[in-house]
Amino acid sequence: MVSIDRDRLVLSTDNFKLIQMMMEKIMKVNGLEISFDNIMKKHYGMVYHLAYTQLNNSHNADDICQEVFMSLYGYDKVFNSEEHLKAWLLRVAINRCRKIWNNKWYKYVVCTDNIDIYESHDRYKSEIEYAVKELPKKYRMLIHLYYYEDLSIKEIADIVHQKESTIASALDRARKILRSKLKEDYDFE
Amino acid sequence: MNSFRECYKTMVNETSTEKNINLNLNRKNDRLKNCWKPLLVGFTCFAMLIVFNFLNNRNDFVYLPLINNVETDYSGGSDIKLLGIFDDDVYYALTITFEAKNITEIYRYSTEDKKTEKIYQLESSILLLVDDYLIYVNADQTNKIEIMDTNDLVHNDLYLFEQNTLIKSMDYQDHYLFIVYENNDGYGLVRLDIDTKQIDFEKELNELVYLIDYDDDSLLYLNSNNEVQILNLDINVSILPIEVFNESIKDDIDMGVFQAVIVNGKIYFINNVGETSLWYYDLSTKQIIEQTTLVKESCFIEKIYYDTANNKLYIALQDDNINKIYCFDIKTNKIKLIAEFEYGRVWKIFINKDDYVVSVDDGIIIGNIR
Repeated sequence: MVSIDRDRLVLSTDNFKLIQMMMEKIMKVNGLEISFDNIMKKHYGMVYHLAYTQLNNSHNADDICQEVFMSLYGYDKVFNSEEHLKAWLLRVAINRCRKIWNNKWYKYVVCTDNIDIYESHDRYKSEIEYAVKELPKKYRMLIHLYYYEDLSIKEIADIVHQKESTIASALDRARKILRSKLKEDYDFE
Repeated sequence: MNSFRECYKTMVNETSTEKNINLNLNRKNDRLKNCWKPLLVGFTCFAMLIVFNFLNNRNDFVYLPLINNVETDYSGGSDIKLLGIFDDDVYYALTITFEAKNITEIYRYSTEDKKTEKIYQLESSILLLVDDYLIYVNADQTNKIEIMDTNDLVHNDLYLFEQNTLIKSMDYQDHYLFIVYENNDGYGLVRLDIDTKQIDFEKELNELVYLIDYDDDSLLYLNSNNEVQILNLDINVSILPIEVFNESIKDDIDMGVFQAVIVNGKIYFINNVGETSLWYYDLSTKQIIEQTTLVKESCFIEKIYYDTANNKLYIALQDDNINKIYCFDIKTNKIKLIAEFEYGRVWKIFINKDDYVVSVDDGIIIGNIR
């Protein structure tokens, strides 16, 4: 077994050559040639954070990352810009998350990853996390894209293939729910 | 006022960073490292369960092959007639044909020293065992019933019927002998008290009947139309049970596998439609009640035996060529599988304190009641 700590991927020796080959692949973004390895280094965190906050499970988040970057490896088209690549990765990750949400097994699984965090004395941190996790899935996704990835309403609308007005009203409803759940007042701008 | 954006980013970075993931993974590793304890406990429990089941289900019985190449038929089963078990001795009869005569040899098998001895030989085929006494119909005088002590072989007359009486069958329970006979007037049924040698019940019949079982108040028999009839011994009147009872057992009667016992005004019987279950027909309320399911599939019904001493029913079923002997405790309503074996069909069951003995096609099986 070979462990690559940085990427949090545990690989068998049989797959090691494949991974090496993947890392050496060159992709074109905005006319520039960027190695697959560099793209992974840059965007792995983004995909992982999205998946982890949506699924609340490190193993599922790892799986999502693996699937997203495997899809990227098989994607032969050229990305027009860095934003295009980022949007593409987020859209694929969102679709993968939805696939897991719809999985019957996932519906009956209780995640125990963060039980200790909920029970910790750090109420400030867990309050936000708990409030966000209590949100309906569609709002949780929008909150993450808007507040963590700093995407605009238009960019989010493009990624999830919905109207800007729909995204704006959904975000508004999500904020109202969060305000009602959070004890402290927050600036939601 | 705190910025939600900044707080949310901090929260996400802290909860899904490498450090926390590793923390989670370490926690899982710790759980895995410590999981040997519940695993060990689980494995120990599992091993104990296996050993317990093995000990509990072990077939603790002895098979005594008595006949080779015997031709069995439905009515007789084989030439083995299991007579009973008394103390530690099993009594059985083997019928052989010699010079156009049926010779019945009586054997005693000691379960203690595992030895068999031939104790007597007679020509009668109507015989039964009461404790260690053999009761049989005299071969030359078909109207005479005799009794013999199997220890000293001393014979005595038990009862003498009128001339031209032919005894057709005998059954025994609680010091009473039920005898079906035929004479010039037709058929009859009597109950003979063995101790007083007096007949205390008598009924004339217009047909030959087949006795199934009886208790102090009622007698169950099949008439010539293969209908179950219940004879009330107090008022000497035969009645047909309710239609639904006859319907539920009709197939079993037609197939010749109907088995029933009467216990305290209830007729216990097996129904094997769909699944094989123990039912009873309550003679006072006229209701049919399912007591318990024995096997989830339809099994071949072999025998029901009522152990009066312990108020238990013993039921023999055959499922996929495997004979299963169940013990049903009427007092507690608990059912228990006590034995499983092959060796063909079970024909008779007898029980004493600790042992059961059953006759199968070519031999007998003696085992412990666990």
